[in-house]
Amino acid sequence: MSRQTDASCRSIMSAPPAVLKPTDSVAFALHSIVKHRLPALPVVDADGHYVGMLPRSRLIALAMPRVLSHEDEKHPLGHLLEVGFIQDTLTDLQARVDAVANEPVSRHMDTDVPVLQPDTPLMNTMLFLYRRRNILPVVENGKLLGIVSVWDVLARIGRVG
Amino acid sequence: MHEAHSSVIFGLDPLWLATVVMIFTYGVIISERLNRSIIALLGAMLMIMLGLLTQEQAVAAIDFNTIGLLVGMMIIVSITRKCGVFEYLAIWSAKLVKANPAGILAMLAVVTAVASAFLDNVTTVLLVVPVTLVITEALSVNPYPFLFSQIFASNIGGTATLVGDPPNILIGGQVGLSFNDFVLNLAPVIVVILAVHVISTHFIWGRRMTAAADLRARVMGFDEKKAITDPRLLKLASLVLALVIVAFVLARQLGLESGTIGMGGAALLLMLDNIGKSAEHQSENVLKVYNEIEWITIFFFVGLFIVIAGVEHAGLLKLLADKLLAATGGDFTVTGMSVLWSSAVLSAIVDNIPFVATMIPMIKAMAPAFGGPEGLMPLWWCLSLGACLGGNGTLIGASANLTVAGIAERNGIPFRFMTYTKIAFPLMLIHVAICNAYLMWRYF
Repeated sequence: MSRQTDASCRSIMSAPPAVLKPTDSVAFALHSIVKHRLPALPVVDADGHYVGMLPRSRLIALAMPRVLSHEDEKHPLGHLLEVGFIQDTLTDLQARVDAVANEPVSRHMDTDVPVLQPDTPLMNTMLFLYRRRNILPVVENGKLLGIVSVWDVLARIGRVG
Repeated sequence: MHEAHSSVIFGLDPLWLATVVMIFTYGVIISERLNRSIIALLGAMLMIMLGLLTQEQAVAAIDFNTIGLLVGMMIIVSITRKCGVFEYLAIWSAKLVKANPAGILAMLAVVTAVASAFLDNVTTVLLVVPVTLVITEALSVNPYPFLFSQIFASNIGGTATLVGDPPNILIGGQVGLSFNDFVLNLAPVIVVILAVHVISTHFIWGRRMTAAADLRARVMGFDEKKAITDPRLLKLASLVLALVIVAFVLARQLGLESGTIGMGGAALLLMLDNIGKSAEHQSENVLKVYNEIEWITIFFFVGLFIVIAGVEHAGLLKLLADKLLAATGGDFTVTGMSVLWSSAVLSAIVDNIPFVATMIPMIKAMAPAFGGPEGLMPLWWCLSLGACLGGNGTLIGASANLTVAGIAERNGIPFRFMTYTKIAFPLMLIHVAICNAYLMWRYF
């Protein structure tokens, strides 16, 4: 391997264990993400084009009152500081998720996740992971090439397994 | 500082040049092509660089009484809101009416109006709207009427006091009117308008609202005490807020200006909130509070004060005041009602702050025609009621409206300009008509 390839994110990229289609249901996505124990799953259309990521935080949000997950970054004053007054039970959370279980993944995915190119420097990739991104898509000419996940990177840098 | 005399560039006519700078500045503010604080500062710099004002005159034009009051209140609110008292009040009021949606619609309007009388309108809606959305979701009712009602309530409540709405802070600061002057002259009509607003929203939406018993039970199950994040801070903040209000009421006897009271309260609350903490913790804490000061508003005011001083210095505002007097035939009633209605309609369409800031020196210039500064008092109430309530007329009329619309859109609740305006504009005109009757009865 050349030095240039070594210093790019290609060296730590892996194949995604699963991908979602935009038309897959929320119920299916929940099932896949739990099965693979992943922080997020990439969403790819029929031609293999990357369209977004479905992070587990978006699925958690579906079980909460909507206003809690739509915090306005411009107005930190509008964030609810303490929500313990809402006395919801597990049944209430399940009811909220049931209500959207058949909606397509495309309605809930995140299209603002930073996207890596195969030649994105390794250091930039590390900084993304350090800043609380657990999984990043690697995209070339619009197509999903692979993912960089925090677990793969920890295993490589620590020579684990 | 250099002692410089103002000499207009290329010997141009100062009246024309100042007018061009003002029209340019206001034009860009209205077009929203540039952040309003940037264009106000650019306009201010032009006034100095073109020789219409010296730097000394420009600095003297910045009303630090107004700025002090604004910054002081922003600091007090930024610390107070952390204790969760506003969330507590919203939930408590919803439970008071047994979680009946029509009752909640009315109660939240009253809570918003009262909070808004003491806090900035945008802050109030930022605090009340998220809890409202949690409640309407639990009740499975359409949140739109609640948000609409809270926009109105925040602008109505804000009109009642010196500190409730920026136009009042401006009028109070520049004219030297006290907290009591505002409460005694405006609060009576504001109470009537709030009642009319609550009744209108009940007839438009509230009377048809229903929620199933199990959903209401869910809201009744909300534990408002859990919304209080910091009981110690709640006590301190309540104490300081109470002291600030008492100081406002006794301002004349104490010989204190509102800017001093606002900043004094802020300094006291900052001290109480930080005393006993490590130096590092204090810096972090204080920095967070300072970051929540709305610097855009502050720099906007600073720039605007200088732009207006430029046109005032050049004689434009005196000229406009004379023209207005000539148009109204020097009739006090006609002048007052023109100020009320033109402020209302203009404030529904454009930012009311530059309008009010320009009107203040114009009205002051009318003093000789109406028996000196004391005789102008009713005109200040016309200006305040028109400018504050006019903001309800359209979605872009006041910052609180746009803030609520923004939160609504992010939560999947459509908030369209025309849908809002169709109901809001006629309601606003009714409110201004009530003011018209009140002002005629009391002052004219």
